[in-house]
Amino acid sequence: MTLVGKLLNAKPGEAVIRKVDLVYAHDGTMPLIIEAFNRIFNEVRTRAYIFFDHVYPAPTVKVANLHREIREFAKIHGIPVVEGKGISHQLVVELGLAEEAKIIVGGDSHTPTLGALGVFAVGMGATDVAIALGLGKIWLKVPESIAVLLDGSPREYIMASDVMIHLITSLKDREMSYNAIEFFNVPFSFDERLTLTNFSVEANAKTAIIGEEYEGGGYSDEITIELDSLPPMVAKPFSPANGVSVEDVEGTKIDQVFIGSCTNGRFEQIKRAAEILDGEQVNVRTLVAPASINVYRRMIEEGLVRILIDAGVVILPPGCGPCLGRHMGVAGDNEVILSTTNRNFRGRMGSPKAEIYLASPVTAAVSALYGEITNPEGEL
Amino acid sequence: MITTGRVWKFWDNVSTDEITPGRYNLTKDPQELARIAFIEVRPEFAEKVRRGDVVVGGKNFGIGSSRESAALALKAAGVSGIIAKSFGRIFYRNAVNLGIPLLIGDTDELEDGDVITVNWETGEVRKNGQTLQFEPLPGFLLEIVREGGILEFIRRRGDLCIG
Repeated sequence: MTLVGKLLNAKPGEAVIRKVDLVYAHDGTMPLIIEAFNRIFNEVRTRAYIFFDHVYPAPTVKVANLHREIREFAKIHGIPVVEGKGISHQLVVELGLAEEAKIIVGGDSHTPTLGALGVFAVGMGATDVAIALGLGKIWLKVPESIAVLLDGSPREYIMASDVMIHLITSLKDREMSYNAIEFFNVPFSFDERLTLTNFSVEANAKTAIIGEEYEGGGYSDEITIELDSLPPMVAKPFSPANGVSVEDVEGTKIDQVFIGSCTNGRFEQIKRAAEILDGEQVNVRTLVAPASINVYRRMIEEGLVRILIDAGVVILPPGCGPCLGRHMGVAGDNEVILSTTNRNFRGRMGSPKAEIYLASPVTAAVSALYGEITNPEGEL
Repeated sequence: MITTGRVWKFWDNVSTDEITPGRYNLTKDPQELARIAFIEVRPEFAEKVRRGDVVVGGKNFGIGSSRESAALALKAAGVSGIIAKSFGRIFYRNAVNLGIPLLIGDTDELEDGDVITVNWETGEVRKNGQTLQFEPLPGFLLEIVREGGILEFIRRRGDLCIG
């Protein structure tokens, strides 16, 4: 039986109603959740959290007023609001909110990040999140699962992002919308495991989970990724499924590098980038945003902040940063961005005329030194 | 649920970043959202779309972020429904929840500007006397759309029930 089947206690294809253990959302999605909630509900019947991470601190009066409305709603319903402490998915992990949960609904598409902790976590739109808040339950169609088995050991400069750009690209012609991805034999650290489940959303998966022992049985497919032979990967504009080996795009001039986000803003990932930038100077505008205040504190304690500012990096406050093109590092016309985030759709980070490439923190850092996309395996 | 309108044809993998781009999307007002629908990739859409028109996509229409503003913007713009080869899964739920009917099938025969009559319950699409068959929403999802959205569906029943 699949892990998803066990967690939902149902077979793939069945439509079920399940109690929700935790519901959370952020400043970007809360305004429409409040609209939907107030139409038919008046009481919150589940554990709930709100995080301000998307556009914080407010860059405009309009956003400041949306923030005020969210705070008012939260106060009425006794929901904790965590402002400016980091990205929702990361804080749910750090606050231990997923520990006793089996089913989590998040008002953000990257909620499946939490599947790295073995829970069924699914991202939903405003109306579904409002229902989860108002009824404490949700309807779900149980997805089929494909098993992804990681075999061997990654080379020195290969990170979880490389595995995922490879996997998403190899799945691009498959109908994945109602599938879950379950990973087994994962040789990555805790910080990197969250990247696997986070990035799975870009394969159109409904959710993703990391398991320990692979038992097989009940899976719609099994895919093995040979880590020993996997090169550094880059996703070309305008899809995360446009993955190629870094060699194919080496030498592409870039205008900005961004290292951070729910995909790659954790301590180990920023540390890998900082090790490359240590004692060097970036040759292009480079922004780093820690995924949380805790990541930021460790960066200070372990000397990474000094390394990064000495290398010419701009450190942004904890949060989503320029990933969604709303503030702090928005891409201009005809600019080329190299980003460690998970989406490079047209217009995602600002101008629709900007080109966005996705890569791992290691590839992004070495490319920042040269001002062009650079193969870390060739240069380090 | 039978409507007649013009086809607005889109490509494969239209993301919610194209439907309602992040930096315009800082509002919950449906009319304001209607004005930013496809603002960058098809700037004439918001001005020229008429009530009853149909948005037609390829594969994975509405992939990406969970923002319900994408579905709400199309509803507020007067779109009667969306036909695509497949949908991004969160967008699919968002559209149904807001009462927007969807059909799935091969959209290659539908071209930009075609005037079509769509039966959203049976999946029949008429174009110049020709009839094309699409897959309508299954079971209780169609019921949700008939009632104008899931909140109305829940309000009438006093609870969330399926099947």
